[in-house]
Amino acid sequence: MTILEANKPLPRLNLTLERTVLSAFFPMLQKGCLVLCPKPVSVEEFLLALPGASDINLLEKIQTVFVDGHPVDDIKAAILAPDMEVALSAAMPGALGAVMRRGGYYASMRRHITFQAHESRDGQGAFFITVKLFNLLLSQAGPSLLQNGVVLDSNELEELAKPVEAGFVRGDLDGKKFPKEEAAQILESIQGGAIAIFTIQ
Amino acid sequence: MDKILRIDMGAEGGPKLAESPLGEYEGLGGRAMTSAVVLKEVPADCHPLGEENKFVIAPGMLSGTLGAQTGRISVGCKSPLTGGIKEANSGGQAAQVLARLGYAAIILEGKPADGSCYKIVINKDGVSIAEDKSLAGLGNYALVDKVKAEYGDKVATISIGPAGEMKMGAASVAFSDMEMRPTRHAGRGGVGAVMGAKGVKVIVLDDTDMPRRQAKDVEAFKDANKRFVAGLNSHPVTSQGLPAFGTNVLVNVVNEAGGFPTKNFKTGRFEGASKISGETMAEQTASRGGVVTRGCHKGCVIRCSGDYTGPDGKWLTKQPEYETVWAHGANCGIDDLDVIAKLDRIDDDLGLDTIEMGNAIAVAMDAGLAEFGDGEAALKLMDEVAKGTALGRILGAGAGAVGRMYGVENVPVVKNQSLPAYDPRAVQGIGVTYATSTQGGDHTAGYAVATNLMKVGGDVDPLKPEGNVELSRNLQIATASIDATGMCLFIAFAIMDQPETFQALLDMINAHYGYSWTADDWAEFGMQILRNEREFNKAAGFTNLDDRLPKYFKKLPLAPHNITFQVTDAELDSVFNF
Repeated sequence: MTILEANKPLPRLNLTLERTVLSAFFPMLQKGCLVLCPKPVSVEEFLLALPGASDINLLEKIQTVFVDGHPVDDIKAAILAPDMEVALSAAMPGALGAVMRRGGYYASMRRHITFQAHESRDGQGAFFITVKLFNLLLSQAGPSLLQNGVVLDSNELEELAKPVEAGFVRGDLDGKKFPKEEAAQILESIQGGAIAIFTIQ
Repeated sequence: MDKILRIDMGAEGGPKLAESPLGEYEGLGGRAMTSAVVLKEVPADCHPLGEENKFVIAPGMLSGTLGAQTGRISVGCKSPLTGGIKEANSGGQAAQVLARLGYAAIILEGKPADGSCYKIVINKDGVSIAEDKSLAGLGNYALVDKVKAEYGDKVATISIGPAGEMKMGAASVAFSDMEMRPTRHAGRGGVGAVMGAKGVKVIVLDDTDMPRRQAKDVEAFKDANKRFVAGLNSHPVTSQGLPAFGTNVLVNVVNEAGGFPTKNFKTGRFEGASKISGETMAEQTASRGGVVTRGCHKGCVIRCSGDYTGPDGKWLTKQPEYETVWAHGANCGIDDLDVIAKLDRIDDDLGLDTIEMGNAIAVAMDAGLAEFGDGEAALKLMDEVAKGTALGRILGAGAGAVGRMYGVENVPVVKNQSLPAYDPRAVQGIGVTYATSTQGGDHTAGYAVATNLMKVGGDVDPLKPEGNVELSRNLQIATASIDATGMCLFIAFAIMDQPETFQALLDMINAHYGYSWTADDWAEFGMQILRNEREFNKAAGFTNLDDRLPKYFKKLPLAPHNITFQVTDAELDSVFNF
């Protein structure tokens, strides 16, 4: 049973961390994080709604987008649906990098796997998607995604315990503040996962 | 760069040197030079390891100048792996040094007695060649250490390891880098075996007191180079992505696209991809105290390479490139970067093509010689190659040979050369290049993505279905042109997106040679290179039936997209329409 199938409210963890520990999140961000999508929106709308997206020109930095492994050309037309996997990459080198680029000159070279928009916005309510970040976006878009909030299972919380303690500025669990000395222990003790919101400063 | 050095290795009484002006090869460099010489001077029906084949080394047209990114050097011959024409190129120091010594090409001819082991030394005083049996059998690292002890650490080397001496089909030619390590290789097509057949173990190049090459219009060249560098420094791929993560930055993206060939091209996704990605490797290198970013030659401003530091904190090898990480990693089911780095180090030391060896081991795993994912077994197989055992020689002959010897049906080769790290079923346009390249399965044959600006092939609608063929054709033409200049292919992204950077490149060529080339001239130059190569291959017996992927790519769907290669034979036959 996944943490979302457990059908009980997840605790809410708020953490403010120093930027020096951002790289501790990279393995998790590469593999993909569960993120709440409030309603069926386009990939573009989802990205623009991330905290600070316009401040860092996020759309310009994201040159390659995959939905369920299919490269996307039109991020306005690609509508998100429950359980979709979205992967995001900055500009990539070589022929392959050019071929995978959204709306790029060489897009037809991979047209057999290109994402075909067919989903509608008919569904209602919030759902979860998985978001993966690659290469330069780990440091460029990682803070926005983490501030948006991600669902972490108990293993991920345990893996992050030490870096969180090292970069701890302040934190609370369901509104109850805790000090740096208790941060690692609290993360390790959360059973069944949490919705975690990180502010990287 | 106004002369050609020829050495007849089979001359009576020992190797005979001759220097000549460029003559009909005037203005050529890199791939344009090697392919022109091979077409004109090598009988297409000769044995690749025989006396009639020639081994041509040519720095690029702009190598040895102050131009940035001009350190590529080409090696050409008839390939013992494919049986067709071969141009393999490499970074490292040799292009700049050889060009400053004044040579547009070194051509090794004839054939000495078996077991010969010559050292050639070229410096401002001239050329010397002598037998040095003490070098025989040395790995590239020990060989370069020996050269360093004798000539210092400012020279550049071109060498072969034991694989070249054993004339293996996967043997590479090694070029020393800025730290004087033999980490840069002209890997593909068994060029090291041809150097081995010529009996030459190492060429030592010393450009002490030699001036930099001067452009015909010095000021115009300086101005163009300045604009060119500014363009590279302002583009996110060349200024950020490649320096931060190296070429291995592609692992996650290709895996996500379902085009990351895994376990001998059985599926397009590798579950261990994030463990071997460029992002993971960069973090690991930094945490182990290694240097994440290095250039491979003087004048490189992109600096896509770096160190691979072992668990003990010591330098083990250069940062393995994407193709290497894929070939020895995902394609063999291995998700341990330390094992992959050891295999890379062994390849460099023995003088082997990492793509060919990764594929050879993957096919061997398919044959049951080892389990997919067993890193220790892969290392043991490489040990067989090092020892030159019967099994080792089969592996060193490449994936095609392993498949034939062990009865494996699905072997990913075109013209007997292993496919690189993008599955052609997922990225079918690249499959067109694999199938039709003059070089055999080769991703770099269609790499110069700036065809839109180069005006190669006119305006193409990239969204129309037949775009695959047109785009592949144009990519192959543009790549041939860049391979002639000595420019690193990674400049292509910046010149694709920034018209002013492409103009700066043309301006550099024009200022150096006194040309007035336009984009059309540039395209015609690339087409001529390909015509030469096609003509040689035709004379060597190649037909359109050789411009095909192995049939199983059309039959076996690739997960996760469950797709087969769908480009028709007629479409493939229309690629070379010029």
